[in-house]
Amino acid sequence: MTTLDTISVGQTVEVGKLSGEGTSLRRRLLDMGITPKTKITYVRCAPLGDPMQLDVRGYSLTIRKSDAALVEVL
Amino acid sequence: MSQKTIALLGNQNCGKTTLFNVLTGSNQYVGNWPGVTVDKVIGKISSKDWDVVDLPGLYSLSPYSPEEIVSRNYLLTDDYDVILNIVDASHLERSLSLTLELAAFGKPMVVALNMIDVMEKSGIKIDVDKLSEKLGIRVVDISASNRLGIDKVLDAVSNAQVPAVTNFFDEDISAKIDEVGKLLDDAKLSASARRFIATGIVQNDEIYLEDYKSSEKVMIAASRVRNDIEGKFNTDAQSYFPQARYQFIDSVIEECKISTESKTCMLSKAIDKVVLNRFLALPIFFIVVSLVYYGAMYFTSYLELIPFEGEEGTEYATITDWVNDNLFGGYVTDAVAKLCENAAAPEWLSSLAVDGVVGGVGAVLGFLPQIAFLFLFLSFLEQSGYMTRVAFVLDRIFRKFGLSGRNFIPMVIATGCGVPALMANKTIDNINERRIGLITTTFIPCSAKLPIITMIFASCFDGAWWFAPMVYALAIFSIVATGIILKKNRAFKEEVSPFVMEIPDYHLPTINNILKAVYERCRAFVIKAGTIIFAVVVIIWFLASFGFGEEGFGMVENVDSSMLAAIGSALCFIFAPLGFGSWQATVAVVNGLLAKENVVGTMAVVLGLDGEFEGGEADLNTALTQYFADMLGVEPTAALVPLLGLSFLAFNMWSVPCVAALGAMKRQLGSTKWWIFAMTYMCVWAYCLALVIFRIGGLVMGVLPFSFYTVVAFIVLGVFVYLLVRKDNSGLTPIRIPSRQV
Repeated sequence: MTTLDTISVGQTVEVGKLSGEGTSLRRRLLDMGITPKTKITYVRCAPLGDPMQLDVRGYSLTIRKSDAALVEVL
Repeated sequence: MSQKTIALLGNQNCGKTTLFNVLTGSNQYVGNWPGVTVDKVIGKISSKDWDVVDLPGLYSLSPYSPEEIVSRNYLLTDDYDVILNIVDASHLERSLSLTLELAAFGKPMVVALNMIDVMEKSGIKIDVDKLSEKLGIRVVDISASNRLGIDKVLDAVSNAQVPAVTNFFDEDISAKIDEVGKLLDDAKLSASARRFIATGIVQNDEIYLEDYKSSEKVMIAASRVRNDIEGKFNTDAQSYFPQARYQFIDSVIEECKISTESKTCMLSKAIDKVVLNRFLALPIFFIVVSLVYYGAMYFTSYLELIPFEGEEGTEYATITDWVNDNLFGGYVTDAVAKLCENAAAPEWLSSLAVDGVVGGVGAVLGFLPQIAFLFLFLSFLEQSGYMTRVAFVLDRIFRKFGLSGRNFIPMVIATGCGVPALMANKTIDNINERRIGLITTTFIPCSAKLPIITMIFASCFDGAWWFAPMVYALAIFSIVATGIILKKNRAFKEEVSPFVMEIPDYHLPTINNILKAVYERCRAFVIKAGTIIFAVVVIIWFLASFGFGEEGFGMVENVDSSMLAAIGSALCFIFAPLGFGSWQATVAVVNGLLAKENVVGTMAVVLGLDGEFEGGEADLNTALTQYFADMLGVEPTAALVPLLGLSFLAFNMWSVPCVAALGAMKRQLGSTKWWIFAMTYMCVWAYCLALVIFRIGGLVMGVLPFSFYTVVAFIVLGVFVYLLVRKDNSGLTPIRIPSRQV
């Protein structure tokens, strides 16, 4: 199982499941459009390696790696 | 034309506030920074007699942040007639997700498709009529920043229809949710409100679960729906709804898109390639911040711009000097003095007006030019979208001590003045980070504290080059240590809202919006100076000018016999452990509350120099060194004198800020309890810091004997180290917002 925080810069992945059921973070990620089968591109990380900048549904989203671990990717 | 109330809703940073300003002509603050609008703002469209309610920008109606909860509670009431939903055309998918959530409220609704120009530039065209038809909601295309399509919006709002039912959820599930809704035990709820709450319960919405957990039949019905969803779609209820929403949106957009030649925001991406480059990001950031800071200083304190008639003909002064010396120190003081003279005002009244009010309020307003320039540059960076990137770049560093990348901006502003800096904390949406931010922001020495630094620097430290850097290092140390100590505390784990933030595209800000932002912030600063400072000025002036003299109670010539001196004598024992237990030093500390630069002025007055020490600053330095030495009973050259100076400086620097900042702090913390905690913490922190510096520093340097207070200082140091390194064992706090916050 791969999670979103472990992919490398430039990679495009498809979202599988989201863990962390019942948390507001999970619901936020879903509401922001990180739903299963969505394509996500890892654009870059911040100078100190965290957080990461993602391209989701045509906009730019930044998320900490610890939070990205919630997202399983294919 | 009938009276209407319009609820304005949209994503953060979608141009909502710009549209609000265009509609109402109001001075609402606009920034290219997600989450600028935190309070609900109401404006009027005078031509129509309509009220527009500007709600906080949000991405969804889940209970993620206080703003979202405020907005959805508002939507559940019936106090509005039309929902006007602003949709950022360049981020259509994500924006329409909120649109579909809003449509569920069953209220007349209009969608304003904003930034259509930006989208068309990127090569995508949307068939607006088809979009209206597919969504079942009237869609109008506008450009709020160019004021295009505003009439169309007003027209659409006056004929707004309830969204045609476009049910994108499974019919069976919808019916079952409605059944759950019927079980809700509250007669006041409308059918659509029932559906909204029932959908929330099915999705394990913390707040509604809390409200209805005692109703067993609701809970059972809801868990049955959850099971149905899981059985039918092989996914949990929480992800089913957004998934279904986005599927529906994808199909709608597919049908409405005319061309799909994707060139999306090439410029923004190109800029980010440099600005957010892994190796360049930090250097660029430091250059930008230095330019902002030195730019503000250069224009106000170096550039001699303003001509005035001096003793030797026309002279030029910097803006800051002119405001302080010529405007407040000269024209205003003279005018007020003259006014008092002409009105034959009693002596005490003219003293109050000239020394108290003009002196005190003028000292604070003297910072206005610097602050205005700082705001000018910062507003540009904010509205252009750079500040969001700063938060992204710095987040990792700040997170280590319980803050986030967004806390950086307030700290830059704090080098100028704490009041606007505290106000800038408003944009931090994580309540823990905001609270720690509010407590630590004023640890940064503001420009009013500079005179104290200069005084101690020149007197006790004989102008050692490392003194100022050391003071700033101590300030940063105070912030970092405070962050680490407080973030481990349960009270700062109320809600762990993660750092999920949109990075908006760059916009070139309009001059109009920047000037509005500068005006709004300066206005807030001036109002603060005119109210709270005014009141405290009067009180301190009264205490310093009246007392029991030779002829009984009355106005006293000498501050020695004033009530302030009496209070100082009564309180000075508090500062004895720190080395400066004299009434003069105590009075200086108290006066510092009014405005920190008063500390220097007060010391000059109580040391017997008159107020005009500027010509003889050397006198003050000698006098202060002598005074400290006398207090300690040592030679002025003794090593203990600098320690006492540093202890005195530390308490003045890092205890509570001036009253104006305290007022801003109270407003931003939004609770008296937290405010009192913040003040207590700051005083304790500064006291302990000064104690350790004086007692342990003295012991280490071999100039102070071991005493009771040395023991206390060591205990303080021990407790501090414990607080710093203790395990953060409450790290497993669930991510949720307690409903009592709402």
